[in-house]
Amino acid sequence: MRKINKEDFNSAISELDVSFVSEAVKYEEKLEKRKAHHNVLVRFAATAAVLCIVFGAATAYKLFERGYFGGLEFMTGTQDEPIEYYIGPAYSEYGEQKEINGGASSMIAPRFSDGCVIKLSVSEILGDTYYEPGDSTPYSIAVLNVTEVIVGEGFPSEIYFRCKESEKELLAGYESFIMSIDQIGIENYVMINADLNELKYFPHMFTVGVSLGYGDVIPFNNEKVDVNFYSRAHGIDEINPYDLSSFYDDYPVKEDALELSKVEKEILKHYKKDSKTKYSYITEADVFKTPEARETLTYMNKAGNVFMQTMVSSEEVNYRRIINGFLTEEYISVKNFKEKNCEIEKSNISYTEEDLEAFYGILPVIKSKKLSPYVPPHLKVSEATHSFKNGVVFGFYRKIEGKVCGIVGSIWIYGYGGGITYDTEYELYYPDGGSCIIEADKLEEMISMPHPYVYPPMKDGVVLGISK
Amino acid sequence: MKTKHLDDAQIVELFFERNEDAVSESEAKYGSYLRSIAYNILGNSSDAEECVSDTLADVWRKIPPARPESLKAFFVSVLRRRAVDSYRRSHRLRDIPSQLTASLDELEFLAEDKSDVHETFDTLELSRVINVFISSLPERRRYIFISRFYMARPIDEIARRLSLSRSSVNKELAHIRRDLREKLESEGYSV
Repeated sequence: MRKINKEDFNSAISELDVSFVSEAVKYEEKLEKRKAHHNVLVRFAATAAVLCIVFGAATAYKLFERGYFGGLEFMTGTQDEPIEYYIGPAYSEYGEQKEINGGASSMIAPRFSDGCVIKLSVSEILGDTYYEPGDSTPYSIAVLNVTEVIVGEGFPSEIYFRCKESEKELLAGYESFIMSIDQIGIENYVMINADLNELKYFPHMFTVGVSLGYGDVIPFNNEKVDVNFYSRAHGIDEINPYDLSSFYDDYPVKEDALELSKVEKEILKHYKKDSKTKYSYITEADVFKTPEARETLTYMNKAGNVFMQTMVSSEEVNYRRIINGFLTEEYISVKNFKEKNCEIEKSNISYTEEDLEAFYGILPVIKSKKLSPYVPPHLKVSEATHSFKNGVVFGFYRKIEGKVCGIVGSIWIYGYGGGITYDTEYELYYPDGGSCIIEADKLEEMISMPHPYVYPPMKDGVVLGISK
Repeated sequence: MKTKHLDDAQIVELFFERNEDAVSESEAKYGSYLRSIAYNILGNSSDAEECVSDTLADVWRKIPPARPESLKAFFVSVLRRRAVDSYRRSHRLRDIPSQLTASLDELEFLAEDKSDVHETFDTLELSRVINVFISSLPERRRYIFISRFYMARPIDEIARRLSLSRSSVNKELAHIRRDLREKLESEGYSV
């Protein structure tokens, strides 16, 4: 065996293929471009954009109930209950790790500090395997029942939790979990089931970006936290420093599941005592305090907007427009809302009442999707070499040349060459009902920015390796 | 007001014409970017400044004949080698509190440089293994890997660029480390 030291590694890294550096530089420029165009959107893009969909849908539902939509079709069946989302302190405001009660660290707490903490039990693990474009990890979907809302309110009674396939049995082995929405993300999702050849809606889809770990879920059996869960989930004994493996060893009260929320309160209390900053959950009333902010609120209501509310930091609150549960690029950001002179930033694109009355409803298009009539447009698929894994269908709105256009994306994901490959197709729908197929790069050009859901198709012969 | 820079193709042409404006234009366009990477590796401003100057001179010697597809990436790769040389020289004198040191320390499964058991390595072979490893990563992880271990970017900066929380980036890095370790072991390296 050849023993490597850090200098060997460092030397080898210096000799990396420059194409990786080039790719990283381009990726970075893409990120910067996104920031330049839509500074706020970038902060949403990877994780919070998906939050927007559900919370937006929740708001939409409430507005729908109040008659704002004038009979426009809402995502019936995908949102049973409205969600009230509260805003909590940001990670950064907790500062460095601090000890309370002679041992407990605050490191775990911020993950559960954003106003959404729920306890769930596993009711079923769905049998199918799903893949995501750009990610070769096989995923399973667990159906979880919400058994207790610890922080926040108005949660759906059932959610879908996307976990790595290799972790599903581990997940099923526990009687309950505590999860934080901020940590694990949430999205409204539609997938094509490979076996049944039909669309499957996952109206409240929670996901983890990587393997299950401390902070994603806190697992319980007999109401006892199982700290071994994390080493099992990772398949290794190594616990990352931020995982805070010693948390429950240090903390004197470690048995009761509900102590987690108490710990949270303890930490908040601790910070309240030691800091001049007030830490409490922030509501709409806290944000719209100044005349300008109230004007913004009026604008939002007046236009019959479907805005959602989410937290970026406790210094800044952002609202995004959602049309019938589908994301748009319009946002309003209230910065320094705690200050007397808070700053309002609006996106360049704004939607008028007229826009909202004259857009093409893409939900029926999505609902009408069937797998069989569709053939991936770019990949040469052969039964001998390609095995269909699953499809994904999704939609969003963009204002293009002054018109609100609906965009529906379809993704085909195949097992291929020991890994996976995928193809994508995008359809653009105009308010008058006209539509056309559009390539991903052209679409990105038209909407002037990369979109988290716009994936260029993979080239023929390119394989994304299977992750463990 | 934002300064309008020449595009990369124009700068490369200046290099080919042996026009010294190529250096000043490169400095104007990429100087601060390169300085930040040099600083991450070296941990001090004056060394970083010197490193960027040396890099500009190196690139002047390399183009032509080289005609890089991405001038920025080309600068970064030249700078990295130059900065690591400088880092090694300084490292013998003192431990450098730089991001490069921190990023290497995160790879706790690798032996310290002072390890008694040190073999002569085929760096290019190890580099090939790492190349294969990187190509197996999803795009975002590839970016995180290059940012942290090649450009020695601070985790906070990576998080800011990706609009992620620091803990999310830490989690990604933890998985990269784990998978890298597995890859190295599977290729017959002892870690």
